[in-house]
Amino acid sequence: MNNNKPQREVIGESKVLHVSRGFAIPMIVIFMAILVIFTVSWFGVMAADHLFDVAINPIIQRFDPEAEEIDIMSVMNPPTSEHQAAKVYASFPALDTEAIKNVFKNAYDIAPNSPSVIIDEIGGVAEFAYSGISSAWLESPEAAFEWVKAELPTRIFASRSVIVEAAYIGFAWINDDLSGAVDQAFTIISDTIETYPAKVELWYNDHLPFRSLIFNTNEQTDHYIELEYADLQNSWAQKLKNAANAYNVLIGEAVIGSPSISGPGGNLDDDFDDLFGNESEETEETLPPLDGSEEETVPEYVETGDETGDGEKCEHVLSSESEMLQAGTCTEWGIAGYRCQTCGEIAKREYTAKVHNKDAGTVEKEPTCTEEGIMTYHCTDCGALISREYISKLDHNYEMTSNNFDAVLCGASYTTVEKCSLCNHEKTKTQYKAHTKGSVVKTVQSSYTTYGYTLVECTECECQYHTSITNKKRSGDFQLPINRSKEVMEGRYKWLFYRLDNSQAYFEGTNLMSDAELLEYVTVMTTLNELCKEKGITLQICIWPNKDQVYSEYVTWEPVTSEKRVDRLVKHVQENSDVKIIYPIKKLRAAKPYFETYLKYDTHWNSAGGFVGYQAMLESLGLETMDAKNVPIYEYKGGAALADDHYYTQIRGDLLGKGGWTATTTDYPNHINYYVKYRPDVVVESRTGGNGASDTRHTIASNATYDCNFVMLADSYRVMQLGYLEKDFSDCFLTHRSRVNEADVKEAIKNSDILVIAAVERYDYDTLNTAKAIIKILQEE
Amino acid sequence: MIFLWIFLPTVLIVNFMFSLLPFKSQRTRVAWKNFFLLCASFIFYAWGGIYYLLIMISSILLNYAGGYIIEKGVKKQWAKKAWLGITIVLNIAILFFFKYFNMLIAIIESIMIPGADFGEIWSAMLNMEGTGALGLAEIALPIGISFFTFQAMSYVIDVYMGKAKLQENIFNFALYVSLFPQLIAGPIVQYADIDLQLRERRETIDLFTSGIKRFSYGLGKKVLVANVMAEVADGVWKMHAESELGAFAAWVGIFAYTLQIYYDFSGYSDMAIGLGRMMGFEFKENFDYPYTSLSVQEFWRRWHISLGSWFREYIYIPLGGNKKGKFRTYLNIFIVFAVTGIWHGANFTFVAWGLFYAILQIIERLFLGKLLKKPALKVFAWIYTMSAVMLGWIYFRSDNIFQANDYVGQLFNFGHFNQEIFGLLSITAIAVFIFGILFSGFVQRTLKGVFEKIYARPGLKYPVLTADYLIQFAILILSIGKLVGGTYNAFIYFQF
Repeated sequence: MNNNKPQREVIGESKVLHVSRGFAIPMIVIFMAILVIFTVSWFGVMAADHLFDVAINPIIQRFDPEAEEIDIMSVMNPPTSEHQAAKVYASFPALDTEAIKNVFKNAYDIAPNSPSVIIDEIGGVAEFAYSGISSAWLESPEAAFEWVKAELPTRIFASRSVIVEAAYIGFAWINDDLSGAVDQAFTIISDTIETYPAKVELWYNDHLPFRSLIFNTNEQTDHYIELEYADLQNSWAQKLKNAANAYNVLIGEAVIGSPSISGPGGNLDDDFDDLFGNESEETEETLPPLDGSEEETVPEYVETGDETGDGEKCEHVLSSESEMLQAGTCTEWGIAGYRCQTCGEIAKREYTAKVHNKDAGTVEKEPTCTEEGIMTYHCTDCGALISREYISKLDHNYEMTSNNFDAVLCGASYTTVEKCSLCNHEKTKTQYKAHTKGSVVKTVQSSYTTYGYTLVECTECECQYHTSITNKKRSGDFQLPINRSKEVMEGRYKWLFYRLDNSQAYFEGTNLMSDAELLEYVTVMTTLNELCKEKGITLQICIWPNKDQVYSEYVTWEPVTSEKRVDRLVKHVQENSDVKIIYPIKKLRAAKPYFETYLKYDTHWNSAGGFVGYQAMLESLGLETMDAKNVPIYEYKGGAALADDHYYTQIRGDLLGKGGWTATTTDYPNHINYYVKYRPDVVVESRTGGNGASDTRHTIASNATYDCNFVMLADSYRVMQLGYLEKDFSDCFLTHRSRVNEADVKEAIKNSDILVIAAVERYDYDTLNTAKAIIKILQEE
Repeated sequence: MIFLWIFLPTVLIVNFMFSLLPFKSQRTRVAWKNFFLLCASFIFYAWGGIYYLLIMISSILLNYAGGYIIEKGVKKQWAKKAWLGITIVLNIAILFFFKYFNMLIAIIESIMIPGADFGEIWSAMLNMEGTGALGLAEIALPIGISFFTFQAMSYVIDVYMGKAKLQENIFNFALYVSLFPQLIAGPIVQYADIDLQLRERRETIDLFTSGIKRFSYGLGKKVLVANVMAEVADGVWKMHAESELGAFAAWVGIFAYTLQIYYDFSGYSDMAIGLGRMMGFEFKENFDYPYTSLSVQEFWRRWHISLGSWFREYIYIPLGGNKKGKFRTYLNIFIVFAVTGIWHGANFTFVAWGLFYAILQIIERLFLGKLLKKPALKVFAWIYTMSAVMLGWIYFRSDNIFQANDYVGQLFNFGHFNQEIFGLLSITAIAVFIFGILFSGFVQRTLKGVFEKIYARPGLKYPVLTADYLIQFAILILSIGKLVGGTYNAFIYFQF
């Protein structure tokens, strides 16, 4: 049957040896014993754990409600430093524990007893912290500290979630500059709140064998700040609270005080208080003293000599307590005396205060809710004024006068105005109107390039909103063939960026404008702005951020200076003129958890990014805006032709072509675009011109949101905004700015109500050139 | 964990109890034992989901019915052949649906990409990403489906070819398909080899003690070597996905994976064989120190022997083997290895891996084989074989062809050094590296003769054996301890 199978050598291992019973039976018994012992001990552990739960823990907690629950595993595995670290991972279920473990292990191996690293869950920071430690630490702790200090502020923005690294604090600690480090950390935190107004969590971690301050924008819940450990009186926390208030983020009460563990350097909690103190405890406002309430000063008693007896010399030893010799009255001082302990004589006398009978008091001035009242007290016997005291203010009697809770959409802020019926004082409060969770529309798993989320229907406003945002997957991507090109920079995770047009210098901040250039820009723009005002035109300048600025976490360039050209330019114009100019980088970064804003293999933004930029523009123009999160947005994966309401979505991939890759973007499913169903009720009556980068497009929609002539001179970035613009402005004229001197464009500019000049960051100077051209056009008349 | 602590001791003890109960005859005893082991195996498999158990039961029913019809239902030879064909087609349909459907969808989706030219479609296909255009959900792969489908098919074919008798007792047949030690990761037992054992077998003390030995060493291989290497290999592949790997890290990664896959898979086979022996079964060997091979042909005689012989018995030989001239021989090799590749997974990487071996084997048959046999070229032959094997593992491990190609490029990227590799190379990992290489067959084959002589001398046999068993128990305890504390515990071969 098996005769055609080749005969091979028989391996000793596989042979069944004949053994005697005397040998075999003990071996079998040992083997079974090992298995059974493990079985029994497993059951034993389970039973013991149960015992702890039902019996021991309740007893312990009865005596000490603060006590931590004991669980069996912690009893069996007394905490070692590694184990404690494991606990930290456990408290972040969403973290990529494998990655962290590796990083942690490395950091720990290199510097076992030093303040070390716990790592962020998203890309950039983990690598940064690790490479920071491994390369810099080996040179010197000082170098490491400097490196981290220099790198952290820029890297931290590269990641949505932020951990102010233990490394950072730790290295600072070595350098005796902990408070300095914390201050800097705070700056980062408040900036982060500004950038990511999502849930922010701050806690001081004392589970670790080293210090760390972990600051985390938590993806699980929207719009909620939780301050753990740090109480709200703490000055540092107070700062955070202020920052949060400024951005309409709610603050929860301090909830958890982590159990304090005494570290090698004493109780870490105490250290924390020492360092950050409860300095800003609110002190009561002190009122000026009232006249009439001062006490008469008691005169010095002059000894007459005869009271001390017969002149017998006695070294008087005064008793510590006095006795009343003569009580005071309304008009007379009282007298008190001290006896000598050796001779028993009264050896020293003093006047005591006059004694009045204080009456119940009369109200001199009634209190109101804005001012204190005054109460006066007189003596019932002699009628003299004894004291005048303040009566505390009355409480305001606030009544709600206006509340637009019902009018605003969920996800937006509503304002309540309360008016005091007594003093007419008005109190305005702005609060966040939370969504009411309804049914789940869909759950999207995170991919390598997108965050996962759950889309939930809000039963209140019938919109859909994102919750439970989960991090991008950490590793892996399909492979782009390795290819190098002068035009394309291959970033992390195969993100492609544009190299030309000086993009790198914009990122590094090495091409800042000179003072003369800034002056020219402001002058030209102010001139144009004045000219526009004369003609009744509202002027808006938009500079759209380069892709690398928004997705800096994937960029391998490093910032060289702390400033960037366009950021600086825009701030300068805003400070020195009333020209409306925007550079909405923060908004574009903040939207990243909800959708990609730029195309992975393209220089352009996608229609979601276009939407965010568009909203920023509307805001600047003072028009009604919509929270990007609440807009019905759909992922678009290319393929079949789109229906009419899909709004100019394209899957582009210009960087693939520039980089010399032959494949089209359809091969790359992580390249994501969207379509936004924007104001589907608005019907566009006429469209002329194509929707390409250099086309002039003119649309009429009489039931658009705003009845006005809108003119925009921009570049290819506008293509992703066409669908929004044509539905909001009844007469919408969009063209490439290079066509500024064509007759129809000139005509449109002259007739415009709103005139927008836009350019992507790397063409910022084109806004200036276009402005110059428009000045000429407007002056022609 | 529950498997090792509760399931296994219970099954062993209960199985042993059957030996103590008074039965009418040895055959009834075995029948009861079979029934008990069948229940245990079903519980074991249902652990992963009752849905999977239903798939396995339908496979059992299908093949039992197929065998029955072929043997008893029809008389004419052409009808038997037709029923065999139907059964095989149905088997392959089940396997295809659960294992290859996703791949087919990805391929169709790639072809459907509008406006793409052939090159673009080709690269999209190799990426195995799909576009989601068909909007079909992925089908979960039932554990071990490739193993039990092949086992069940071997029964029908053996019955048809007259190699084995019809198994009338469906419980015995079900036990053959589902026997838990080898259910999910092999070895693939051919029905003819185990037919008799299902009817009559006896646990003996000799079998049991040698079973303990195999099981302990197998667990040790898996837990103490493969898992450690897995951490290194996973780490390197992760690094590769995220950053530039550089030559050193790439080499570390491929060495680690080479060790991981051998110790993982052969450890698992050892455990299956060991458990089988404890219950009275004798399975064939699945590995024979493959990394000591001096040619690719030899490697495939030593690696995953049960799969190789399955393909030889049921594909290569029916196709004509090497009896129909050179060209047909080469074509047959090509077919067998293409199928071997795709058997390992629904991905073009596995196809590439299989075809790579087919080409090497043909080259060896053409001229290289004779050269490799020369004693003077022994070292060269070994280096050639291992290079080929390791290169193959890169394709085996990578997610798609492009990733694998890039990895191969990184092996020669001497200009770059990725410091992250230090994070993976702990002292333990380095020790395991050295130990793993030495004990992948070199030490055993050298010492084989010595041990045979020792065991032949009663005075030396028991002292040495006692020491051997003490080492085994140490390994067993260490492994269980590591399992309790460890995290990494996935058998690579579960996915096939």
